[in-house]
Amino acid sequence: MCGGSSKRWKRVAKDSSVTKASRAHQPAASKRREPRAGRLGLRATASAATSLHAALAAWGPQRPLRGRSLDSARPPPVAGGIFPLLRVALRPGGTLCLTSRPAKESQEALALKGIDYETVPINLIKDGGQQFSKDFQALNPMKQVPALKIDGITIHQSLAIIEYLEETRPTPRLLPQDPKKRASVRMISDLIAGGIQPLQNLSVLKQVGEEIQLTWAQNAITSGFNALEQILQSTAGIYCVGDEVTMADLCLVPQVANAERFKVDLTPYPTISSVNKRLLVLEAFQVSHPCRQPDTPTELRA
Amino acid sequence: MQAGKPILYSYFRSSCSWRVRIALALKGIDYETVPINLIKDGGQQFSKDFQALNPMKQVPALKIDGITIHQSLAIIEYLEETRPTPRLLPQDPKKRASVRMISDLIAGGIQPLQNLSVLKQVGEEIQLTWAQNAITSGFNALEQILQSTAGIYCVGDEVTMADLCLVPQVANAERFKVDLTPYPTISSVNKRLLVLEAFQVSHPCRQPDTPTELRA
Repeated sequence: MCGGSSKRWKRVAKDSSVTKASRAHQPAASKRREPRAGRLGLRATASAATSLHAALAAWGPQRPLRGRSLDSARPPPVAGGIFPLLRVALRPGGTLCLTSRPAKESQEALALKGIDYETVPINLIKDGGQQFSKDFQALNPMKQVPALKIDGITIHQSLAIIEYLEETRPTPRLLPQDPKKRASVRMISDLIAGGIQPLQNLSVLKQVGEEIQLTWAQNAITSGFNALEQILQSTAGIYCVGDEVTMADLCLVPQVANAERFKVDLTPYPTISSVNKRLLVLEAFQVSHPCRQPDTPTELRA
Repeated sequence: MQAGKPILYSYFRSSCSWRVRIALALKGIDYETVPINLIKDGGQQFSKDFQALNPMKQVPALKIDGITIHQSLAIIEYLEETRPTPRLLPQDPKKRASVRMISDLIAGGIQPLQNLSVLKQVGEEIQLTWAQNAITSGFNALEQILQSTAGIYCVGDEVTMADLCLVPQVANAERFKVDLTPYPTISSVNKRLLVLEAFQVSHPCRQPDTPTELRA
């Protein structure tokens, strides 16, 4: 695709003032505070929810955007007047900083598609982990975030959510038209969502124990990134696959954030790093960031 | 269209490879198998040649139409989009979401936690318990979900991608001696699927690289 596509993504992404995430009241360019280290072993990122935020942000009428701040002009509510409900893991109070990568992906998707929604925070640490409550378990028997209530159904598993959004709100696209490119997008997304993240999520790290958590997480990420770097060298243009933002990019950014949190050296991954950098300036990826969520603790807010 | 049959890089016992074998069988796609033995020679998936095909060093990988795809669900979705008959995903987006949710639960939420590479890392002493935990956590959720979605099969009355994920995962559960009594819906759907030809021809006990002592 031509380079103009990236401008479209910038314009569309900025068009999303989205949700209550924009309550952060900070312009996109403001300095973002790094999440605190806390106990490293228990860190994960709300990445799947963030991906959905980004996707929902871009759906809806396109308006020129220059100079518009994040919190102006909410997109219109979805048909029926009932906002989708996104249950995400966001940041608890206290010293632990915890968000889920799959949730972040969902948030990014929501932001990119310009879909306004309400957030119900699910704290993965507080009260022994709110994902274990009877109510939440009825919503998602896997007891994980994210879960999205939309159009009268509840969907969980971040990529299933994103594919549903793509099929029901097809503009802007998150998957290319060509089946071979779609295969690349899904391959990369599955590599991250199935091949890296599950091995370094909160529940697995608890099982391996504090002593080896960090090394375990680092191994999971470096094995995956070694493969991903090689793959992106064939598929990447401006973004993971060609020059338009796709579902693969929604998976990449939160996983890189996880890598940073686990102190993985990213020097061996120049393609991953440069694609990540280009994505991070897009508004959909910023409004969905863990540091700009309704329940981001004050000390961690951007 | 590319001349020559598709080539599937597969290990007889790999549940991820089995999913793709079922899809190819259901869609009536003739293909060649190149066996990749995950144990022999330190694991043939680590060879330079195979790593060039799939940098994740995992099976399956499918060479088709001039490209190579890995990640079993990405392969199945590609087959669905390019060879749409018979369908492996329903037409209705909400049912498609259910199919993908179940497939991702298994392929992303259970299998990666009990695959060979992870079990090696956790060590022999706790491997079995680890695998059993991964499967029971996932099956506890899946049983609940199937109670709303299942008809004859996982989602309604037609075979879908979700079923392609279910059968190999149940086989894994049996291998790891997981008690399936708490999962009546999973068990009954599995039983109905196993009689279908596509699930039989693709079975681990009927592959080119199935060891003699394990052949059907």
